Amino acid sequence: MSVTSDQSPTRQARGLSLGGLLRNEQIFLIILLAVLIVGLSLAAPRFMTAENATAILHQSAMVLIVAVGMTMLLITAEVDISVGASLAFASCVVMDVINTTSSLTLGILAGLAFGGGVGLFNGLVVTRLKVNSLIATIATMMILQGGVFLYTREAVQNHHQIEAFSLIATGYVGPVPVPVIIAALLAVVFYVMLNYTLIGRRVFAVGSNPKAARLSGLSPETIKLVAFVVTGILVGVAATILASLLNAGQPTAGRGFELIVIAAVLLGGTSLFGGKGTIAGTILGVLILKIIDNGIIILRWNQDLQIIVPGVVIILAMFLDQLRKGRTDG
Amino acid sequence: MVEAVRKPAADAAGPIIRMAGVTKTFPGVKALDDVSLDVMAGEVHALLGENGAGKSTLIKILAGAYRMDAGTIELDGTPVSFEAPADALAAGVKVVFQEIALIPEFTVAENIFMENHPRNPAGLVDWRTMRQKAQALFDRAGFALDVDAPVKDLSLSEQQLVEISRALAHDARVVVMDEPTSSLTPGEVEHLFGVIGRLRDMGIGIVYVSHKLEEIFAICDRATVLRDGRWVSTKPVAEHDHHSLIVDMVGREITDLFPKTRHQGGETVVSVKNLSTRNKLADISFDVRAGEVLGFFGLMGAGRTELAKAVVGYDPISAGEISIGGERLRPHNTGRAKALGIGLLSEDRKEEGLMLEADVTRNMTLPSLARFARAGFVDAGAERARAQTFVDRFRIRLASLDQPIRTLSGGNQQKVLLSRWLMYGLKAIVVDEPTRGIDVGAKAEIFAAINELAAGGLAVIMMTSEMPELLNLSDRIAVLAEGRMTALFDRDEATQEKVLNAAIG
Amino acid sequence: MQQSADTAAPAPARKADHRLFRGNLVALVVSLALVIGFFALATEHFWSLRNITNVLGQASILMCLTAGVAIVFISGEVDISVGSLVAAIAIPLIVIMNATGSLALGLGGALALGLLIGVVNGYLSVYLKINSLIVTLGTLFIIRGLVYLYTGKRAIADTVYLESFFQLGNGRLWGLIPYPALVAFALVGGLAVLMTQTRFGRKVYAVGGNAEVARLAGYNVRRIKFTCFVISSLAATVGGILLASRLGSAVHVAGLNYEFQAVAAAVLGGVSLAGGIGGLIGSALGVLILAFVSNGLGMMSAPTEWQLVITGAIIIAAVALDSAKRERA
Repeated sequence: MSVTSDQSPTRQARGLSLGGLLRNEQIFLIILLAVLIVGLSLAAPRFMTAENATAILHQSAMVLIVAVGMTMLLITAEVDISVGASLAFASCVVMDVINTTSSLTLGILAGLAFGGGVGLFNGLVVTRLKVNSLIATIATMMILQGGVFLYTREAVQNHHQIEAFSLIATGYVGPVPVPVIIAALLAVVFYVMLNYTLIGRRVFAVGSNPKAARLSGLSPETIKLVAFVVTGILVGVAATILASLLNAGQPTAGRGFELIVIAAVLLGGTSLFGGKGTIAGTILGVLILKIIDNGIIILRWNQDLQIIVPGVVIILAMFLDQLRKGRTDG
Repeated sequence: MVEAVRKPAADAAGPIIRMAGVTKTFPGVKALDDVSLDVMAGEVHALLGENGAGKSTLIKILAGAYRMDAGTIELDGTPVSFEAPADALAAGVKVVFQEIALIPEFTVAENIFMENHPRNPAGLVDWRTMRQKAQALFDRAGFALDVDAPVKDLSLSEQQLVEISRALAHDARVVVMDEPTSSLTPGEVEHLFGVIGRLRDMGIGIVYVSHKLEEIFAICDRATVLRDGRWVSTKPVAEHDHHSLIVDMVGREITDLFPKTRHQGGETVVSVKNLSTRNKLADISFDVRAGEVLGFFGLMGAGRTELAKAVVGYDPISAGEISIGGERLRPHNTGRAKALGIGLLSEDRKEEGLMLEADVTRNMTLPSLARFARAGFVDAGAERARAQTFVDRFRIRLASLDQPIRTLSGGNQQKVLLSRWLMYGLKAIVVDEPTRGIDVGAKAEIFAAINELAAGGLAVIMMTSEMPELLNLSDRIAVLAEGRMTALFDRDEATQEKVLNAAIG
Repeated sequence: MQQSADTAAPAPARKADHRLFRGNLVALVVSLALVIGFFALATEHFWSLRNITNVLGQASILMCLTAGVAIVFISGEVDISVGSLVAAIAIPLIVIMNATGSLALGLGGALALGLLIGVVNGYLSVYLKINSLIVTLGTLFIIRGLVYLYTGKRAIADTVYLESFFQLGNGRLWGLIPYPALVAFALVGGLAVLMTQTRFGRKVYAVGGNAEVARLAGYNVRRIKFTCFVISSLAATVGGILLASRLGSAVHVAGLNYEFQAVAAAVLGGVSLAGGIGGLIGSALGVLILAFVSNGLGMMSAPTEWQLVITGAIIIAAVALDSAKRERA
C-alpha cells in the first residue's frame, strides 16, 4: 500500500544535492549578493580586485566565527546578546595572559576558557534558573561591560612581540588570510555537524519542539547548555583574532558586535523561534553585510551608513520572510 | 440586562440566523461543503457530528473568527457579513468555545464586561457599576460566582458560567455552546441544562454542539447533523432515535468501529506504587502486564494527563516508585524511561508531539536516531528506509517522506507518532487520548493499531475520556477522580454507570 | 438539580488586578526601602534630601522610557528602539529652538519625530507582521546611524539658552523637587491610570494576556498594539527632551544602552516578556531600585562600572526568582 509514497531518487539525494544546500530562500540571498557584487564592480572598479576581495573575507571572518555558533543557538530557540561584551573582555584576557605567561598557547586557551565560561554561565542561568535568554544575556552583557573596566581601565598592550601571535590575524596561507581559514574550517565543521550528525539533529529537534524532544528521551536543557558553551568558545576564538589584529586587548571593542552577528544570522534565514536555520544562509548573511560595509567605504559614502544598513537589511529580510510564509500558508 | 433581551420577532416563524451554502477550504482540506443551519428564537438546536465533521469550522464562521469562502448568513432575513468577531457580537451571536476564551488574570466581572467596560462620566472604567451589573446578572440567572475572583482561580464549569454571563450581558439572541459538557461533572451538567432552559425561555436561540446523544435527547428541539464537512440532515429531535442519529453522524453503526478483542495478560511490565505528585496525583498504584490494555478514565481535571506524564518520567513525582520491566525508573527522567522501554503518545500532538516544520522521516525517527548513527553521523538512507516500512505498515497517506508533517491529516500524523515509538521498540506505551482530533475512519485504524500493539506483547496504558473507546478497548479499567484512583474494574464487570460513578468520586 | 455549581463556595474575594496597587508591588516597595535603608546606613552622604531628590531627577529619564517599554511588553510586543530615539528627538528640539527661539515649536518638533518613529515601529511590527524585536532592533540601528549622519558625530549645542528649556531639565520646584522628576511622575501616573482605569488600558492587558481571546471579544488587536508602540515612542520622547535639557544640547551618543536598562527595569518591576502581566507603578519602582543602587554604590566610591555589574546581577536574580515562584505555583 505504499503507492502514494514517493521514492524518486532525486528526493532521496536531497540531503547532498546542490538544491538541498541552497533551498529556495537562499536563492534570494544569492541573487542579492550577486546584485551587490555586480553593482559595486560597476560603480567602483577597485571593488573587484583580489586585495579588496581578500579584505572583505578578512573582515567577515570574525563575524562568521561567532555567527556559526549563534546559528546553532538560535536553532535551539535561544539567543545570546552578550557576545559583543564577551568578545571585548576575552580579548583583554588573551592579551593579559600572554603578557604574564609569555605563552601563546596559554593565552589562547585562556581566551577560549573565558568565552566558554561566559557561555556556561549564560547557559546555566537560562536552563537552570529558567530566565528568558534575551533578558539573561542582556544582563550578562551589562555585567561584562562593567566587569571589563573593573578588570582593566585601558587597553592591554602587547608586551611580548611573539611573532606567531600577530600572524593569527595578519598571516596568510598562500593568498588566504589565516582568520579566513579558521572561519571557513569552522563553517564546514558546523555545516557537517548540523546536517549530518546526531548532535545536529538533536539541536534541530530541541528547537522545533522542546516538549516532543523531551518526551523522546532527549534533554533540551543539556543541548541548549552545550549550544551556549560552544557559542561562548567561538567568541573566545574571535577574541584571540581581535587581540592579534589590534595587537592589544581593547575593553571598548565589540560594541554592537552582537547585533551584527544576530543580523547576519537572521538575514541568513535562521528563525528566532528555533528549529530552522542553515550555515550556508549564515555565510551569505555575513558576506552580504560585510560587502555592503565594504561598498560604503569604497564608494566613499559616509561611514555612519554602516550601522544604518544592517538595520534596514534585517527588517527587510524578515519582511520578505513574512511574505514568503504568507504565500505558503495561504 | 436580561429583561432587555429582545423577544422573538413578531414574525416568529422566521429564524434569527440562517446560514446557507457555507463552504470553507483549508489548505488540502475542504472543511465545509455547502452546509446550512438555521436557528429559531427559543429553540435549542443540536449541531452534531463526529470529530472532523466540520462543527467547529461552522461555529467559528458564525462567530466571525473564520471567513467562509462561499455561502450566506442572514440575520432576521437580512443578509449580513461577519468579517470579524465584532460583527457577530454586534449581531447578537455569542459563541462559548470549548477552549474557554477568558483572560485568566482578569476578574469575573471584568471578563463579563470585557467588550464594553462600563464607564463613569470621567471616561474611566466604572468598577463599581461593573461589579453591580455582574452581580445582578448572576442573581437573575442563579449563578453563584464571586464577581471579584480572578478567573484563573475558577473551575472550568465556573468559567463556562462566566462565558454564558458574557452572552447575557450582551443581550445575545443566539448563544452557541461548543461541547459545553466535555469538562463537567454530571451535577454540573444538570445545572447547565437548567441554565439552557432559562435561556430558551428568554427567547434566545441556542446552538448546542455535541456528540453525546443522551444530552441531545434531553434538551434539544431540533438537530442538524454534519458528516465529513457536508450537511446530512436537519430534523426535530423527536423524529430521531439513537440509531437514526448515529446513522446520520457516522454513516454506519458505531459498533463497527470498535474491534472487540481480548488480550492475554503476560508478565507484569509496568508497576506503579504509591505515586504522588506535588500538584495533582495522590497515592496511585497499579500494574500493567504485557499484552494488556489498561484504560484510565477520568473527567477533565481528574489527572489523566498528569499521570501519563509522571509515569514516563516527563513530570517530576513527589513520592512513590515506578518500575518498568522490573527496573526502577530512576533518575526520574524521560531518557531513563526510554531506556527502560516506556514512552508517551501525547494527547497534544501539536504542542508535545510534532516537529511541525520537519519532514515525516525526522518526526518518526526522533527517539531512535542513535540507532542510525555511526561515529556520530546519521545514516540518512537507513533512516528513510526504516521510516518507509512504517509508512507501509500503517498505510500512512503522504506524498513523500520529505513532506513537512504539518501537511498531513490528524490521523496520519498520529500514525507517524505511533510509529515513532514502535520503531524505537518499547515494552510499554502510554497513549493519552489517542483519537483526539482524528476523523472517524482514521479512528478505527488507530484502534486497530493499539490492539495490534497489545497483541504484539506491549503493555498499553490508555488515558481516555471517551466512554465507548474505554469500554471496548481496555482489558481492565481504572478510574481517576481528583488525582486519586477510585476504582479498578475488570472489563466484564465495568459498565458505563459504574465507571461514571467512580469518576465523580 | 443545581447543586454543584450553586453550592460551590465562592472563592474568597481577592484583590483584583485592576487596582493600582497589587500584591507584588509590596515586594518591590520593600526592596526599594531595603536598598535605601542599606545605603543610608552604609554611607555618609546618601541619606540627605538633596541626594534623594537628585536620584529622582536622574531616574526621571529612564522612568519615562521604561513606562513606554512596559506598555509595549504588556501588549505582548517588544520595543528596544527607545535608546536611539532619545538621541534622535533631541535634534529637531535643539535645531528648531535655535532657529525659532521657541521652546513650544522645539517640543512640537521632538514630539512629531517621536510620533513618526512610533508609527514606523508599530506599522512594521503590527501591520506588516514583522517580529517586533527585529523591527525595533533594526530601527535602533537605523535611528542611531541617521543621528550620526545628521550630526557628523558632534553634539549640537543649544545656542538660544531659553530659561524655560533650562529649567525643564535642571530646575526644582520649591528649590527641592527636580522638575524632571515631576514630569516623569506625572507621565508614569497618567499612563498607569490609562492602563488600569480606561477601556483602552484594559484592552491592552487583554490583548497581551491572550490575543485570540481579545480578537474574539471583538477587539481590534492590531490597532491596540499599534497604539502601544506610539505611546512608547512618545513616552521616550518626553524622556529624551528631559535629557536634552540636562545636557543642554543634542548629543549623538545620548541614550546609548538605555533600551537595555529600560527592559531590565521593566522586567525587574514585574512586567512579563510574555505579555499581559505587570504594571507601570511596578516598572517605575524597578527604575528607582536600580537608580538608588547605582547612586549608593557611587556614594561608597565604588567604580561606576560596578553599577552595571550589579544591575545585571539584580536582573538575573529577579527573573530567576520570579520563574521559580511561577514553577512552584
